[in-house]
Amino acid sequence: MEAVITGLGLICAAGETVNEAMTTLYSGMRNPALPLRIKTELDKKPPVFEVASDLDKFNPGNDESRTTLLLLSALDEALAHAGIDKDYLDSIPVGVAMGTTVGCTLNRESFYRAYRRGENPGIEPIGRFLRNNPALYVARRHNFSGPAITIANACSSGTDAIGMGKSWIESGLCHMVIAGGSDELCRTTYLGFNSLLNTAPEPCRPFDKNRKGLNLGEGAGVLILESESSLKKRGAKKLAAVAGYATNSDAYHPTAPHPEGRGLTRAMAHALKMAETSPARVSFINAHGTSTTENDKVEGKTIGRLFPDALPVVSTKAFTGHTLGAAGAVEAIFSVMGLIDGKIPATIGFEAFDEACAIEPTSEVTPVKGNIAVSNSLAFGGNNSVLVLRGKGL
Amino acid sequence: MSLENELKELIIKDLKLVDVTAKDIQDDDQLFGDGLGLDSLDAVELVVLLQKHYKIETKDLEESREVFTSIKTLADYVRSKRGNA
Amino acid sequence: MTPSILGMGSVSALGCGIETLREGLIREKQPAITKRELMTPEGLKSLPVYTSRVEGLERFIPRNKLRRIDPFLQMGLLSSYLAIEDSGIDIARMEDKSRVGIIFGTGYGPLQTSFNFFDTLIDDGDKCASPTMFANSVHNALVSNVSIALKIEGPCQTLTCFDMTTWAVFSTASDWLERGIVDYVLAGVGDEYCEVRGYAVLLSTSDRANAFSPMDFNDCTYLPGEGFITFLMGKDKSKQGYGRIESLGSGKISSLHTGGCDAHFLAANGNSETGPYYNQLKRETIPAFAYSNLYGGMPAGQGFDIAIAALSLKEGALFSPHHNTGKQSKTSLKSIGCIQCDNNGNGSIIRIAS
Repeated sequence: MEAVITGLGLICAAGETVNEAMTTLYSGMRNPALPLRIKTELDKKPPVFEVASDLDKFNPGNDESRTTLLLLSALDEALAHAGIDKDYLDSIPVGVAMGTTVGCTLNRESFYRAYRRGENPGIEPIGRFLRNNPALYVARRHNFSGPAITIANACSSGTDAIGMGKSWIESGLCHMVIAGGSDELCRTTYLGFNSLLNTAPEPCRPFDKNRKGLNLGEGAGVLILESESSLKKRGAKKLAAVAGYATNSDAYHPTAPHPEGRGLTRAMAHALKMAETSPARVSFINAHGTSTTENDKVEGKTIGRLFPDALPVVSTKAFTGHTLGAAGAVEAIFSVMGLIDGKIPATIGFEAFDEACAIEPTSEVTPVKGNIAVSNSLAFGGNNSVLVLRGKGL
Repeated sequence: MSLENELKELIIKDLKLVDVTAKDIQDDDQLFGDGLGLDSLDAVELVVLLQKHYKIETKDLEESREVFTSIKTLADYVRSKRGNA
Repeated sequence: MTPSILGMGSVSALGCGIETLREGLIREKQPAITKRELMTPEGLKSLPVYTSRVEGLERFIPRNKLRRIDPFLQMGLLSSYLAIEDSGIDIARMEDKSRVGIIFGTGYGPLQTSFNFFDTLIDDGDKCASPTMFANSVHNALVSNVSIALKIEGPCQTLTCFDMTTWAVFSTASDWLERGIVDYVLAGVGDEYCEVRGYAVLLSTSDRANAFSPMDFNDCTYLPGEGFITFLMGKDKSKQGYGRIESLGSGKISSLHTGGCDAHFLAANGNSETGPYYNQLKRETIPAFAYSNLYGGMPAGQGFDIAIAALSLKEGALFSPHHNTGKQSKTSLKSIGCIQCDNNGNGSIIRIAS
């Protein structure tokens, strides 16, 4: 029983809805800037892709973390997009698979600073952490009775959540899954990636010869996955299918990818095989494309080795920054839209070809043919996860 | 204590090297690869070490690659930043 | 063929190695409980903590390679190596290690490392944030380190959903094996103690009764514990006689199907928010046991109960955890249901069968 996609919702710096974001992507405009909500002592502050809204409308009880608020924004849009009414949601077991990095970490810095100063602070921040586990929060809010799992696989979490949802539907565990990811910008990740010298002092340049690193971003992406029988029962519209998913580990280094893309090669091969397709039939790839020296080199070389030369490749992190646990979900949504719209955006920031990367991403809005999209996520820690999405036909 | 020895002690402490003393590290030993065996994560920790103990900011690891070759090159770099010959 | 438990590795307050869990069961070993003195708004208070001590990791990893490995990573790494050793299966010699996966779960993740990272900011400033501590503070750092140490190249994932974590790990592991994605899976769960956690426990449990009493569901007697339990799972028959994962179920406690078991092992741990839900389980007349007095309170409790269930099935006996009555032989002991409830009316059951 294949998992089909019937609703999409996202929020990121490129836009607070899917349509807004796609308009931004096709316009080729972006505006990474210094973070407004997080303050640091750094002399040179790397730019980020921050969501402008405070999202207060989702926070009536003042208990939700920003990661949860971003998730609620995307979730509302996805449910509305899928046209699901509450009665239907209440009538079936609905699963929730959510990816995050910040949303599952007890990183309440101001609480800890007060604790370190011996001020014996109240533990409300800890209670808030316990109540804001992304998947459990969504399941509790909507009283869903299906499985609810939060995936903490760093940068591949969103992709892995979609893969998990796909497996639940195929095994018959549930007929509908809310799958996606969410992460807010915070001092821990901002200072952490900066300490690894992974962040660029300028807007990021995926696959560019002079790239200097990534820009962090924040956001959330939610996809409604359903079984074909649920789709028919509701008379809903299929947007695309999750045709293939695979994940493999490099088993190489805690922070650097395998130089020959060992895990990515295997994950791509498995995902394409599961989707019963081949590299020659792929329409485009949404690359992980973080703009770090190592990621783009390894990913580019691997794509160059496995896929035909003329295959369009885009990195949409050029418009959103690296949204960590949300990235895989946000990029899956962009990939579905690429199949629907028959085009993918330019990889803004790319100017000069780097032989070491072997591929040249899109430099303008590019028409794509066919109905197979591949989306890559290479995680901190060596995980490589790949989605194959199949659109509605040629 | 010479700057070279000070750097050796700091590297051993901050990078938590085990079963290594300052006496085991020669000034010209390669820090990375086959010498002391440090890797890319140690490289960024060295950047923090320079900031924390000497207030030296390393802007670009690629450009500073030669600085991190050995204790000697590291010490020369620290001296040059301090203005000492 | 449902997935079998081929080997187990335990790191807990009872010690390191699955034998220590067995020794705790037959009361030949007591868990290490250390009193921590913590300052609270009401002054200095004492909190007993089930404390793990990692010993023997140098058998598997040379000392000089352990320099970046913090205590949370040490627990997980050691329990992984011990599980493989216990199984007798030479994973290291497998030709295709992409046929081995890792699925770990944790409720709180590498807590102490997260706070150590903050310490570098507080003590030395934002420019001196430690990249190593940041890398180790993400939940999937453990899986990454185990994958690198054991050269495991299959799917490697980390899940985190508090009291539903063990169920999430086992249901994913079972799914991978049943669909043939991998031939073996290292499935593990664990949590660590840290001072901030102790502080939170003291402030949130001011009406605690004195003795740890997990079967008194309405009383608050919670004592925090830490540890990591890892299982090597596969489709082969368990040579160790640990049994197999017969079935898994989850959902609202009021409708959780708990029948078909000779005994229930409840992950109740003196937490008065989750305790009352164990009363709501429809358990028929199946005898119930709680073993958290052996390993302490943590979201990973159900994982330890699964290990105890596997040991019980191997012995053909149920062990009485609270009274010195020793084991009760059950000639018909075939299936044990390990149940954990959360604080929201949901629960899960993992049935282990011989």
